[in-house]
Amino acid sequence: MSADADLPTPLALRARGLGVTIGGTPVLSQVDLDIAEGEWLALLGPNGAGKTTLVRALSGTVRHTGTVALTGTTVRRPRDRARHVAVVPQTPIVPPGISAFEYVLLGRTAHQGLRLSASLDDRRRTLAVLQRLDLERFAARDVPSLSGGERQRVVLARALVADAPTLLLDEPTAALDLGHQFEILELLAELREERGLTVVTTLHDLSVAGQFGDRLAVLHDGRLVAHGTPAAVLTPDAIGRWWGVEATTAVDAEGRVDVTVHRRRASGRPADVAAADAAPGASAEVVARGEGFEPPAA
Amino acid sequence: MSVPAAAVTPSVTVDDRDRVVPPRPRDLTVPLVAAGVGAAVVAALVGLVVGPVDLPVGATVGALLDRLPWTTVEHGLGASSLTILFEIRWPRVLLGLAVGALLSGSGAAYQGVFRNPLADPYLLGVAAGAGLGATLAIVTGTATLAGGFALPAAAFAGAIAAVVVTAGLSLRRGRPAGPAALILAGVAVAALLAAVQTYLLQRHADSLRAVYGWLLGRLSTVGWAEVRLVLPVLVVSAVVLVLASGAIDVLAVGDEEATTLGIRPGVTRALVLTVASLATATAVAVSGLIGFVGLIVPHGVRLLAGTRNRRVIPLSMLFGAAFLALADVAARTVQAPAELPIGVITAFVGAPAFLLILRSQQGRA
Repeated sequence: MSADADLPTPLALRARGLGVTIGGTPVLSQVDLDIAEGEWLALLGPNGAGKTTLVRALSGTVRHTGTVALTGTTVRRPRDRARHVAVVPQTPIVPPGISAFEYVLLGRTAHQGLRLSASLDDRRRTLAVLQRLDLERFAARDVPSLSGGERQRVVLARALVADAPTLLLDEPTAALDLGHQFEILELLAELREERGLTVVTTLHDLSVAGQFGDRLAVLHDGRLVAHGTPAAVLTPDAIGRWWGVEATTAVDAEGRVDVTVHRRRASGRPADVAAADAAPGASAEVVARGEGFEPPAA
Repeated sequence: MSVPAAAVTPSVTVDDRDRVVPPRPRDLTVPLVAAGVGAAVVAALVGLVVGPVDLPVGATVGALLDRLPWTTVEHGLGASSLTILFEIRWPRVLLGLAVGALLSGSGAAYQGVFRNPLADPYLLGVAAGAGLGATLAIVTGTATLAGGFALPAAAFAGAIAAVVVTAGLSLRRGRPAGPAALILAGVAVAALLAAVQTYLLQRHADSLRAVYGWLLGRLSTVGWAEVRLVLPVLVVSAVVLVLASGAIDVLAVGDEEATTLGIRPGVTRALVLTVASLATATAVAVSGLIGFVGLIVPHGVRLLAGTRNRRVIPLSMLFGAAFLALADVAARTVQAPAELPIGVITAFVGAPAFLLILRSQQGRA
């Protein structure tokens, strides 16, 4: 977490002392988080760690203690916040009988006047985003009739059309098969390049996080327990501690991390974890050995 | 993206009833609104010419035009016909149009903010409160005070009080809770008030007939007084509901997502429900409990115009006005010279129509 101290670029988002209590139980406590402009931050953690709650606190949809500042200012009105941060919820509620075009157009809400009527410009931008995401042919289709991958792109389109500098995505790939997961994530990576977006995603797949995130933050029991580059955060030791599984990791030349999780043998003792030099740029193989399992071929 | 080939809409500039592509932002709204205005005008005209004394259509239109400033039209209607037209039928037709618009617009708004197709404008206790207020006025013999205006005043007060109590009960630590809490509070308040009303009626069986007649709804007017009461409320609620209809559409994605899109769901819901409840209470005060209008008219409009409240709310007001004006014609002609309660007509037409609408929606889904 010391990595926060001197970030090279201006901050897109700064959270201080975030805490959320639901029904008397603290589900998030004392979370400090800085997100630099243009970076991709992946929020990790086991189920129930508070990932979704953190996203809700950052997007202003749950009452919290502490502060969230967006590009330097603390924002209170939902309208101003929506112009800074576009949110892709984990399970979006799709109104019945709404076409993809009208659904994506909802993303322009924060830019519209009192009656929230769509201007020609709103429609042009909506069409442009549909074209960019290869969704134009679905414009008139009911959203519920689309496939899972198409629907997820439509929801992503709604967030993009808001023209917010920061995208906040809660498990954007949870409902998708492997191919569509990577399609969405590669698309996000391209869009981030094109538009200079800051991207914050919760992810449950460690390898995916290790491949796409510039930095990772790990939540455990509502607290931020690790924060840094993929190579620094995704060590076999940390994976064993927070997720309770044995894993090997491989760091490539670009600092991206591959995580391979191994079945625990019936007689397995706690993993005997080898420390590794996991500096970015260095290629290293880190192996956790349980009793009686063979490390996979590199 | 594997999609069955038949299901893929041909690419680009698609425009099924949803006016997709830029250069055409206006779409079907204009023809639909024109149809709604036309329906209201035709219904008004039918209401003006049909009755125990049939007035000729041409002469009636002529007499109406003659009333406009700076126009003189030879219409040939006698003095008694003119009295029937302007002092009896015209206020009644206007009241029917206004009450229909208020109930239908409120119904559409309630359905929108509750995201519940079965919500109707009586959901939060308006009907039960108005019923109890009217019953109290009738059994205590105060209904005829103030030139007969004590009855609508009591019904209005009862309706507003019921909604305020419902809203108060639904609060959680002083903050608005979700729509479910409101609906449940409304059910509880309505049940409680209905119990009190039933008890009062048990104790005053002699008032049963008068209360019953009021409960079923009627549009009989005392000249222009009721119209003057209702029109300002109609104007205010039309403006507010039409302005808020865009925000109601955003609420369709749920409160949480609506917040991330830049809306304040609690504020929007409170504003819309306040105005819609005021509109309903006003309609109920002058016309009794006319059922089904707030339910079937918006659903019928959705068949024509889709589910977006931006269109459904204004169109519901127009078609609701036309529907109630026509229902009133039926109420006063079916058993002429006796009058049927208009609530009987709207339920008799409304229930089967509602079933048909539900079935056709299932067919499409």
